[in-house]
Amino acid sequence: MVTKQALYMMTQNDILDRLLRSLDDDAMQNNEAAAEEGELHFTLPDDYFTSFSDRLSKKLEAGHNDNAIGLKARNPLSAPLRIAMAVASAAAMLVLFFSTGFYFYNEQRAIDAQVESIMAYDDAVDSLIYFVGGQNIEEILADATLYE
Amino acid sequence: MNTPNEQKLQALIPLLTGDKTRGQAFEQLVKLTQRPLYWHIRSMLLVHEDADDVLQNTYLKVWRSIGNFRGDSSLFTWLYRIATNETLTFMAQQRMRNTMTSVDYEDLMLSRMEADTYYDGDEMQHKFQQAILQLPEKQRLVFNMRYYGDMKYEQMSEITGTSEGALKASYHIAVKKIEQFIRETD
Repeated sequence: MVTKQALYMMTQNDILDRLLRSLDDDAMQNNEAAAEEGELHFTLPDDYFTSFSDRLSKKLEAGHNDNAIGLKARNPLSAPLRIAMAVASAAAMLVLFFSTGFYFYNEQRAIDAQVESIMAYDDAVDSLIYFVGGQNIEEILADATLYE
Repeated sequence: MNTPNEQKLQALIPLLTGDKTRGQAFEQLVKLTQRPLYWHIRSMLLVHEDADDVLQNTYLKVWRSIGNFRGDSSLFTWLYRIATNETLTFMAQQRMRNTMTSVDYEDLMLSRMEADTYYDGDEMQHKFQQAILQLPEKQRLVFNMRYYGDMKYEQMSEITGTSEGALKASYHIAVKKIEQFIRETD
């Protein structure tokens, strides 16, 4: 009885032997048996090739066009419905576009107003500094008392 | 390699472009070429279900673009090229799908092969597939075409658009890597 280890070694030797032979150009030519040997561990459903060509043939018999052999997915919706859906989606896109634009326009206006008020405040502070002219506020007040 | 009768294939070309004969000629084309194309795809994808999907996609593409066949290469080489491109595209899509998970696509292929009803390899054959999967994708393609397909370098060159010398070198390196993997992991 062949042990599992012996079987393993036999398979290994077969593979290594075939690998070695495959390096020799002449040894590989017309070596049908060796080619089949490599396929042994891959199997197939019974009559796979017959059923495969039948499947394709049936699709072809249904009509010699792309749809018949499944190249293009059939659209289950009717043409008027597809047009209506296209128009509705275009309208929805337009509404989305303008509402987004309006929102950002309003936001920008609010920001501009804030900037303007900050600038006005800064101008007022600048004017006060200019008016004071760098003098100590107490001195100014003291000078002011002279005219009371 | 189970190369279909070239003369029969060449005779199909005018029939494939005729409106009335197209369907029947295509059916004939599928019957003549499905076996080698299937094994070519299967050797890359390992799992029967995936190979079946890609084989269908290949023939759908052939049906759609047979009018563009210019006859620069043989019809079978052209089919092989389409099958190869479809296989590589499928693998790229699967790899993209698995980027969110930490599982390596090659590891996933190996575990799916193990679970596949249509695989009955033993421990050594599993290790052999593991060794093949550690090769870079293009080198794996070259290896499979030569090892499983028993294909001539000349035809491989037409399919891959790579020089025969480069293919021989690539195959040689692949064999050495696999041999080393098998011996080291004993």
